[in-house]
Parts: sequence; C-alpha cells; structure tokens
Amino acid sequence: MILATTEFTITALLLGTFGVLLLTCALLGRTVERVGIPVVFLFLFLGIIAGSEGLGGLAFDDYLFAFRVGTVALILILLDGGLNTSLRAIRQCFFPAVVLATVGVAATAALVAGCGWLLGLTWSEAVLLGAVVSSTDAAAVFAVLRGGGIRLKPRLGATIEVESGINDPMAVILTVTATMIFLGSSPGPVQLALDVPLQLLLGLAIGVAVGYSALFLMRRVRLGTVGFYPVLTLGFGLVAFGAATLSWGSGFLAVFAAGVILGNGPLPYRSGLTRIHDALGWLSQVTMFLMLGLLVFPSALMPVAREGFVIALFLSFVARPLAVLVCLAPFGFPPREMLYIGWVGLRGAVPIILAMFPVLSGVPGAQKVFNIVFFIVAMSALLPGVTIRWLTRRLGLEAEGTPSPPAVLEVNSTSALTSELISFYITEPLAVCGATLADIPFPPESAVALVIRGEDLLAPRGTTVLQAGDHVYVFCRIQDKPLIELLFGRPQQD
Amino acid sequence: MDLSSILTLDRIRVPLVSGEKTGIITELIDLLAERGALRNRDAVLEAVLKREAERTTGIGYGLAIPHGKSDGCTQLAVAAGKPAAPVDFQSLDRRPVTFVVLLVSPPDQTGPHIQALAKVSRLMNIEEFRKRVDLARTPEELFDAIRATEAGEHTPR
Repeated sequence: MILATTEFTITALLLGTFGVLLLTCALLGRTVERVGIPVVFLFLFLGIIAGSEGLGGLAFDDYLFAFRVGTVALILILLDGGLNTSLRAIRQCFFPAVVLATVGVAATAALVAGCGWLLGLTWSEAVLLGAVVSSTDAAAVFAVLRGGGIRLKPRLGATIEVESGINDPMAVILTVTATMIFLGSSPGPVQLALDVPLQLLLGLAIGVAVGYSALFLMRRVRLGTVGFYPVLTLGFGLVAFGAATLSWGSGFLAVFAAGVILGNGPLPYRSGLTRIHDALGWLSQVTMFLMLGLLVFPSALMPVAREGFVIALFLSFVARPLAVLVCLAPFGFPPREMLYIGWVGLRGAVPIILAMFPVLSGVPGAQKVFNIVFFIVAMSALLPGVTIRWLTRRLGLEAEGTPSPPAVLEVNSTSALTSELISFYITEPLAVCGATLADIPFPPESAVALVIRGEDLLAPRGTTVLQAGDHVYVFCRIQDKPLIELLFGRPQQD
Repeated sequence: MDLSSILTLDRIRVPLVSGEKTGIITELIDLLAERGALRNRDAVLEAVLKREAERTTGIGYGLAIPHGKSDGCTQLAVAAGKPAAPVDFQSLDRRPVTFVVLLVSPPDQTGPHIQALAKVSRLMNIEEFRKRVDLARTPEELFDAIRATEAGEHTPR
C-alpha cells in the first residue's frame, strides 16, 4: 500500500513537472520564435534547470528509457515529416536531396570526425561524433522561418525539406554501423559498402509498400469514430518501422516513405490527421530536448567545453557548407543557394537520440561524445537560428509568394472527393480581377464559396466584384480545375 | 460568344515562326499589331507576359491561351496559331503545346474577356475539335475547324 502511494506521488510529481515545462515553453514559444531561436532550445535549458544539478533536482540518467522514448519520438517526427512532404517537392529536387542526404551526410560525418581527432579525441570517439551529428532537421528551419512569416523559394525549400527527411535514416545507419565496429563486431569493408544502400533500398521499398496498403485499406474501411483515423496512421507508421527494421532495412526511412505515400494519397479527414501528427511531431521534438537537458550534467560538460565549441563552430562554418558545396555544385545550384543550404543545417532532436545508442551499447568514450553533442545541438540551434531570417532576406531567397489567407476554409470527408475547394489570391493581371462573380462562366457544380477581403469574410453574390488582394475559395470538380486555374491563376496550396 | 465571331482568318498563323513560349506570344501580338488591332503593342505584350508569370495558361490537351488586360488595345482581340513543332509551355498536364490562342482586351471589358477564355477552353474539351485542330496544316483549315465545331454546337441534336 505504501509502495503504491509513493509510486503515485512520484508519477504525479514527474508528470506535473513535465506539464509545467510544456506550458512554460508553449507560452514563451511565440516570443522566442520572434527573436529567431527555435522553441526547442528553450526546452534544453528548462531540462538543465530541472535536472539534478539545477534548481529542480530531478535525477534522471536512465539512458535505456531515454533511448526508447527517443526512438518513438524519431518515428513520430519522421512520420509527420513524410505526411507533410509533397511528391511535387520530391520531384523538384529528388537527386540533389538524395545526394545531400547520403554523400553529404557521410562527408559531414567524415569532416567532423577529422576535426574531432585533431582536437585529441580518440578515433572511435571522433567517428561516433561525426556520425551522430551528421543529419539536419528541417522542422526547426521551417519553424523559425514561419515565425518570421518568410517563405522560401520553392526548389530551395523543397531541397532543405526533402534532404532532412531522408538524411536521418542515413545518420542512423552510420551511427549503428560505427557502434558495431567499435564493439568489435565489424563486418568486412565490402559488406559494409553494400550494406548501406541495401538498408536504404529495403527501408524505402517496405515503407512504400506499407504506405500503399494503408491507403488501400483506409479507402475501403469506414471507421466508426473519427478519432480512430490518427490511431490507424500511427499504427501504420509503427508497422513500417517494425517490418523494415526486422528485415534489416532502414526502419526510419520506411516510416518517412510510408508517411510520404499516405500524405500524398486521398486521405480521409486529412486536415485533422495532419494536425494531430504535427502536434505529435512537436511534442516529440520538445521531449527530446527536455530529455537532453535532463541527461547532461553541467559539471560533466565543462571538461569538453573547448572541444564542443570548436567542433560546433567547425560544423557550422566548414563541414556542412563544404559538404553541401561538393554535393550541389554538379546540379548547377546558384552559389547563394548553396551557401544558404550549408548555413541552415540546424541539428534537431535526432543527434540527441543517436548519441544515446553508443552510450547504451557501452562503447568507450560514448559518454564524452554525448556531452559534446550537447554543445553542437545547442550551438547549431542558436547560430543559424538567430541569423536565418536576416540571411534569407539578405540573399534574396524569399519566395515572392502570396500572403496566406487570414481565414481557412476546408472540407472534411471520410472518402475521396471528386470536387475540391481551392483558394486563390487575386492579383491585377488575372482575368477575374475586376469582374463580378456573375460574369464568370463557372462550369456546372462549380462556384465561389467564400471571398476574404482584408479581415472581412464576404458572402459571394453575383454582384460581388473581385479585387486585387482578395482571397477567393472556389469549389469545383477536379476535371474543371484547368479552366478555373486559367481564370484564377495559381492555387495557393501549390 | 463564339470564337469564330471574334477571330478572323487574317489573325491566324499556321505554322508559327517562333518555337518557344515568349517568342510565340510576341509573334501573335505582333500579328494583331500588324492588323491594326492594337494601340500600344508593348503595353499589351507586357500585360500578357505578366499574366503568364502568375500561372501558365497551358491548360492541357496541348492548348495554351495566353491572355491579358491592357489599355494598349481598344477592344477584345484574338489571334491564333500552331507552332511547327510542339512547344513547352510548362502546361498543367506537362504536355507540350500544339495550339495557341491569344486573347487581349481593355481592362473595362472583363466580362467578355472571361467569357471568351471559357469558350476557348471548352472547345478543347470536344474530341472531334481536337482532332481537326491537330490535322490543320493551314490557317484556313484551322479556321474551318473552329467554325464547323461551333456551328455543330448550335444545331440541336
């Protein structure tokens, strides 16, 4: 009885504290994002403050637990990333992104490892460090950009986004392989060279297969409660991970691939689903940063502070930009875009999770690597984070895109629709600008559903005159889209 | 409003001299200018290119309808042409363009402007019309295809 009570108390205390941390962060988030610091960064410090050497005095050093939570977090982050990555974006930059995510990641890892070795780390420490910090996080980049109301040029944004979706699996493979090698269970170099592409291909194939099965099933099965749909997508994400990992493929790539297939298919309750996965992704991010904060001890950080800072600077200023340059130059990217992609290589939650793996496996020096990773993650969130908006504007990489409408209208449905609700931003050159709605020869089953002018929502009438600056929602059948686009221009969802 | 009532034979060119998007738009505007349909050729060209930059007017089935509103013309004016070989217009269906209809009007004639656009795009939904346009080798054949199709539309079935 006494045991049960203490267990309750401890759980309540832990969850309550976690809740307070979440609240603090969510409330401060807006202020912090305006400055340009990713919110997750705040969590890192909250974690340290709450930790055993901070004010909170929470003793937490359970790496196994943290690693398991981290794996789930990474699955959620990648699933969300996949759901939000359009096939159009992937087509736009498939080859550059793939080269960045493979060759680029390997090159970054190698450069960081070299730097670490020069600073006096042992080979195993240096190589592990390189592998762990080699992947980037687009979610952090886009959060900072969104906070400043900036949209990147399409191909540039797509490259950063797609790269970061597929480079995590590569970093995972590198880290696991390096860990295996230092534990003495090294496969031959030939097998190693074959292993990486094989794992990626297997992961991709299984992910795509799971994605399509999921779509097939979701189109045919009607669930009783709307709430079950995210459970279903989550389930498929976990199945993709499990199936791929058990077949020696890259589980993380499988999750991302399944997410992409699902996100681009005719999903029931799409907006609700993506919102839930978005929230899960963010929760995972902040949890990982909080955990990193809890796991590091300031007293243990001090001895590696010099290495940490130097390597973090080297990664930001040399390794990442150089790797990007080598990967993208053959694709004819303009120098300013390569510079930009090189600079915005923010490190997210992934290095934190990856750094736990060697610690858990008992590789000598892994603890030191973990502490250095702290510096790299913190610095790379701060340096590009604070400068990214200024740099975007300075280099003129902002999309000349249209402002997003102040109100959003959408249709939620359980089944695939034969009609669409499309939003357009009216500019002066468009045929419909200056026309009354009655003038517009809509095909049958099509109509303007809503006009948004400034802060006002206008009920569409025949006499309503469309003006430059209006946001217009048009409801039309999919086969009539070409005519609608001829008259109204580019859909805002594109 | 019928396309054949606003388009005349002397505003059709088959084949077009130019083989790329901006060149074709310029060529058709110059054709209108030669026929005395425009007051300010440069202003019209600018308006059409501005509209094209918003979103491609290649709406599929090999058809593109570049258009624009400008004070450089006094009334709705239409020109049409077929390039010698299919041309890339970054069309919605990614297919190259084989038939181009250019449409310009003064800013205060938005209604007719839109009606005409819709009219042209609907013609292209008729399979028989697409076939005839595809086969047309001269301005006359193209004009006949448009006239015949529109006449057929008016006869009750």
